[in-house]
Amino acid sequence: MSIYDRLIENSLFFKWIYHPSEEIESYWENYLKTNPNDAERIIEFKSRFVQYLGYNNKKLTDIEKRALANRIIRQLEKAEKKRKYFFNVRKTMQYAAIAIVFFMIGGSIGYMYFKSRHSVELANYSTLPEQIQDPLLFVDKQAIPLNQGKSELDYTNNDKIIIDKERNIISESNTKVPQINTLVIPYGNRSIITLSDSSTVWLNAGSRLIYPSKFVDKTREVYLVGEALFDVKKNDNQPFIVKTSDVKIAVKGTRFNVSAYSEDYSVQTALIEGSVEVYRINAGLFEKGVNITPGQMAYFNKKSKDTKVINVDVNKYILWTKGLYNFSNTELNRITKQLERYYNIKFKYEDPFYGTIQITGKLDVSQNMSEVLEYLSKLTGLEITEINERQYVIK
Amino acid sequence: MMSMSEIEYWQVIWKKFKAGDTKAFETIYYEYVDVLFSYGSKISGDRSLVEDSIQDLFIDIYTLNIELRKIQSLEFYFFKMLKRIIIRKLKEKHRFSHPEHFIEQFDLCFNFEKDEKEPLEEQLVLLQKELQQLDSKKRELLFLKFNSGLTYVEIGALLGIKPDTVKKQVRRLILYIGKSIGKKFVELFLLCYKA
Repeated sequence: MSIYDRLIENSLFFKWIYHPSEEIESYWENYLKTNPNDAERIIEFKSRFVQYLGYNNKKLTDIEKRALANRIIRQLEKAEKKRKYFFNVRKTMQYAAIAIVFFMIGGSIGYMYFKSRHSVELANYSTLPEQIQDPLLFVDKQAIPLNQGKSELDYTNNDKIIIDKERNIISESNTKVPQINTLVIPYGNRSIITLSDSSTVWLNAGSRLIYPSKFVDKTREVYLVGEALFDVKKNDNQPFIVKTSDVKIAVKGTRFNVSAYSEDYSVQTALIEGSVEVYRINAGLFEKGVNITPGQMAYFNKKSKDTKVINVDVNKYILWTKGLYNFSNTELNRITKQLERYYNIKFKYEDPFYGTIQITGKLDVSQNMSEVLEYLSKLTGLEITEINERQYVIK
Repeated sequence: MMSMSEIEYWQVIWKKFKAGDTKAFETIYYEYVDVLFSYGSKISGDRSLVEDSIQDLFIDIYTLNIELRKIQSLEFYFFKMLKRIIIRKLKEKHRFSHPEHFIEQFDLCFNFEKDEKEPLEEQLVLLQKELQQLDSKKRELLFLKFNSGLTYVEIGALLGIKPDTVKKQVRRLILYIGKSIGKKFVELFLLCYKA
């Protein structure tokens, strides 16, 4: 092959002529040095190209290029949204196809499947009015007021619900169909529930738990909004499932904490004992869950819809059940948010920057609230003043 | 030709781009925008039409489920799709005027610089003649050869001609230029030898 043949098969040669840049120049400078015999002919060849085969190119200015890039990025973002939508439609179509096959196999299976409509009912009950100020227990739409502060519910005595160890409520003894109970614990309150299977649930402030008075289905399902610590009794034949608006946690006898406040960006499942599997709530039929072991936390990001597994000090996540909060390098924002929930109060920052101050320490919220706030004020060096009964300013 | 590490690099960038990474988009965009714009400008003189077409091109490659068998064919894909988009836009634009002339000529004009003092060498006279007679397709062929890393097969596929024809055409022109250099070089060599 002649030198010219080699040159014209090299796209860098044309780049050198038509789109020169520093990198290209230095590449050829180096090439000519290492091939001194060809150097002269290469340079001559190139100069003739420029002389006889030069042409004008229209170009975009740097500003035009930047503007076009930004325009495209905006369009890509729009397209991304559309793509997700189409993807979902396609997925739904797939399931629709599967559903049709099921109906063809036999209506009876379908009938049996739809008979256990628990989750549907559970979901309906979760849409109770947001602004409930007092702790309430709904048993079949009948509202039972509970003690302010801390309350206890016990379902282990057949058809009775024992409240705070003294009040007995007889549920209507239509025992074949268990009643759906909805427990609403507003900010400033807490509750401990012993379910009919002897599993215990600590329900934190600003939470609600929906559960049947008795577990008669193949699975023991409860629905949670907010934060709760679960201590689940082992029963391999009847798996325990915690559902939130975003994830589903499948459990066999175990202790774990779930934080699923609707205003938070994540659902956090911290495991103390046993094992749990965390699924997305709308996971596909064959989608695998995320398994975690004691000492780990499954962190579900509501926006990106993925779950990360993080090693944590799980004991920190259950301190709230003892009225303790432990912080290490935690933003003040997060701490005041938890205190807001616990005491049902509101904080205002005079300077929003204060909210990002990181603090480390322990708060015992079972103490008097004013003591806790005084302690927090010392810890941060900020002043916390009361505006009215429920409002505080941090400055 | 891409080296192995280059191929791997572009594979990563491509994957990231398809996953919605803005930085990866910019990497691809800045690599190709200049050559795509100058190519597009030679099909249509309407700047904003070419810009819009480049935009559509990126949206298309992002949203469509493209099977890129080899990352090396990305460049081919860009040229092919851009041309198709521009022609579609031109058709729309000229729907009501003269559809038969909707495609403008491939606007590549070589600035053949003639030195007035010296008479042209024989080969260069032939070259000048050849350049004046180039049809639209051949101009495009030369543009692609000079401005891309496309293979003869790919250029042929873009223009609907045989790869062999592409190769021949390129070599003819090159020969005109190269030949005379060789001659000159030999003359120079002989001169040195004689002296």
